[in-house]
Amino acid sequence: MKKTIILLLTLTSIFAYLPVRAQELIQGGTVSGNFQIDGQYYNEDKALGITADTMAGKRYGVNAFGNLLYTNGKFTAGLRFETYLPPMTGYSTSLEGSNIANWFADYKTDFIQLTVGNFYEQFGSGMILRSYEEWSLGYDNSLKGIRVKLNPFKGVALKGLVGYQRSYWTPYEDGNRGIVRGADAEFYINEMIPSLSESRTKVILGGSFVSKYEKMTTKRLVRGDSIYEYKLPRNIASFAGRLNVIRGGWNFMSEYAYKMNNPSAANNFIYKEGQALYSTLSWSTKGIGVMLGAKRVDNMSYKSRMNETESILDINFLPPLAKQHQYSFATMYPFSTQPNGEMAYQAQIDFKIPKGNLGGKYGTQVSVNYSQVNNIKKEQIEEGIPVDSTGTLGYSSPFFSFGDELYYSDFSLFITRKFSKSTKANVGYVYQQYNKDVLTGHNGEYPNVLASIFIADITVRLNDKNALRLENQWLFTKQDKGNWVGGTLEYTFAPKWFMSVADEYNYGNDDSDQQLHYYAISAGYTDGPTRIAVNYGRQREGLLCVGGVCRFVPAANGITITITSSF
Amino acid sequence: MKIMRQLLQKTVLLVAISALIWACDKVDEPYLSATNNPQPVTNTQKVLLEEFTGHKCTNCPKAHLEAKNIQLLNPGRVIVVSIHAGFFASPDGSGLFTADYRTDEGTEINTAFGVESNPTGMINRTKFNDKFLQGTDSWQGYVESALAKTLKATITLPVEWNSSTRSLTINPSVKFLEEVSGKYNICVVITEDSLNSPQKNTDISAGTVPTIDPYYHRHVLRKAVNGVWGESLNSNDGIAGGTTLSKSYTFVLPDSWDEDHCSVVAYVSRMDEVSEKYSVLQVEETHVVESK
Repeated sequence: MKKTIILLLTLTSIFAYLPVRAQELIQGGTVSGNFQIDGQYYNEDKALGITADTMAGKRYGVNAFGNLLYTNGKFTAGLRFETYLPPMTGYSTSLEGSNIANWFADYKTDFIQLTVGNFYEQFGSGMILRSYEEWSLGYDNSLKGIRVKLNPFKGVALKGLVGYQRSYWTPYEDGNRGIVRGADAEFYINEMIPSLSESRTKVILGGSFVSKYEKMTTKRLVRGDSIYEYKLPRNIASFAGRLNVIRGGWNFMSEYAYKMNNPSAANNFIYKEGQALYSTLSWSTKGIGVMLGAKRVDNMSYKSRMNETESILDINFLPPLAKQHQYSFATMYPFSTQPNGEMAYQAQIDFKIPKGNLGGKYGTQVSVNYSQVNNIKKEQIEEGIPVDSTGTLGYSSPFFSFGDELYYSDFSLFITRKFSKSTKANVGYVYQQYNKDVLTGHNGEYPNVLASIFIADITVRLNDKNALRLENQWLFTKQDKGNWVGGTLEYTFAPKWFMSVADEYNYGNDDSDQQLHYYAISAGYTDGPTRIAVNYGRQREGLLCVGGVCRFVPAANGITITITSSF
Repeated sequence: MKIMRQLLQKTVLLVAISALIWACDKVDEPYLSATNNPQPVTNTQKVLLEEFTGHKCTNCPKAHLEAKNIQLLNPGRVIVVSIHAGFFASPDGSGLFTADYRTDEGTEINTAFGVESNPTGMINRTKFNDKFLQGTDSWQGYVESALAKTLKATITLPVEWNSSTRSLTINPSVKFLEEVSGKYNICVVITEDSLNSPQKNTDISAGTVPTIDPYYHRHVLRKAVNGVWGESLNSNDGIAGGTTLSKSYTFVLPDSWDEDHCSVVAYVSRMDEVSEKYSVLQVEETHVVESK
């Protein structure tokens, strides 16, 4: 409580300098917010290896948050309260606790925007700076400090910031993580040059600079009978430049990022610079859309703590170039970003077969996607020094060369067709190659997983309020856990109720004791902005990935309750 | 064109100002500088490094190497106890990984400190950066922080070994050099070194991949002689400076344990409900056979 009062006093003091009178702050303001509560109760399940011993008394987990936002004209203030008592299984135990996780105050005019407290920010595609929150991963790398945004001229947007990143609940102390400083400039050329304002070709240029300052402790290395000390940089800078050209249905975006020498736990303390290039080209017109993308990442882990190996304190974000699937079997082998090196490309075509013999009564939507990720080629810097040797430059790598090792590939074909006013179907085929060794942190232990997945999803509207959805999935693979079959039957009583039963059966597991059913029964109720859902059943273990950032989800058996609401 | 030129000038200026304000440190070769080998220090603060490990943990051999390096960097001052517990330490029914180094005490410690993955480690059971468990790359710095603390107690740890009965008589004695507040336990454990069985591995700098065989597991926790959390040294709060408290234990080594590779480790840790709960004040190690 005392902290909250100090916080409010501080905020009031800061904004006393701004042209906002206290009375105006109170009158005419609006308060909004949203909440989410996720609770799980766990059962023992010997088939899943969950016993009283492995649970160690942890029978339940609760993750919850509430966002409150106060807006009054140009002024906005907000806070985020979070509770993990204890964290649900699969989330870091470091989250355990209950408190105000983030707060901020923001003042915005056409010329300037000032933010103090916690804020989320992204420069370009995020390759040198992105702070964001992803609830399903338990991930939050928000910056706490101050941010200024300026629009000094028409078409010019400048940003500057300084802060430190959230690390669960750990308070910032001198030396326990770095300080992040950054600046970004974006130029909308067509707005800056009046003669180009009507041009069909739009050009946006951008440039960013980010620097991390971290107080270093000494780090030593024993090699043979000798002891060496690493020369560790305190300030680690990164730069990025980007270009976006839009004309008609065409859109080209490209960003190049460069990071100075950044020896860290993530790269085994090598001194090579980091580089990344991310480009996409898309074209769309009525009934068809095409997207091509290419990416190179080389030694681009960038964290605000040198020794950090957990999925926290990332300063940057490396956007994935692989299709984000929705169906559960297609997400069983997800791609996780490899910041130490990857070469990727992706192509997607979406088109509509018009009404007619082939397209049917309402037309048919087709989506085809292919993506592939390989390693980068790494060459020894010197005879006798293995690639990635600590305390060296690490390796050299030709910029445009693909490595020989496949990390991931994904081909998918989805066809969506409406057969009548009441019946719609979505069928799909996915073929994935998954380098389990690399993508789960092993070496020489597992063969690549080759998986074929078939999906059939049919929805029948029985009348204006009632709908039935049947989803079937099949996964065939000779590796890993073998074949699966799954089905979901969902009944919706619009607009308030739904219920479903589902099962995923691992009938192809080589271990007959693990040929298990992962059954689930769910029900939900929606009332305006409030939704309550209850689920009982088994949870399959695996990786949950959002944007290439992953969290391990352990197997579980129990009841899950989710409540969301907003006002 | 004029606007574009001005724009370019402003951008260059902005970047230049940014670079000046936030200078970046470019490190040139050589990236490592040779330092003097450390000299052994006697009768001073020692540190307990507990590493949570398992034979199916692929990143653990690299962590084992780091523990060894830290011992070499601080000769005689870092005592390692390897706790095999949890998923990565579980034995398979058949195949390469049938060895079982798990102990009830290790599992209890593993659970109590919420170990979720391996490798991870604890330095003097003290929170650094608000947490007990630390990643391998953080061990070195935190060990050095712990070693730099003021010496408050010393432990003498005589061990009598009777080879005919395989009996150990352990007589730890703790001398408090200054007054300390709180309640303390002394915990005595047995470790065994050089246990040979395969170990999974992902790092070629640590050995062959995906398995190192033979692999000699070091400092393996075998048994807590006086209970997982030890025995109380003081029932009332605080211990006066100059006080010496002694205990005596006997323990019979099972036949399957190689006495030549066994050690006795004793440590004093705080046990009352304060933020420093569990923190280790001092630790000592005596090899069983050397004590003959």
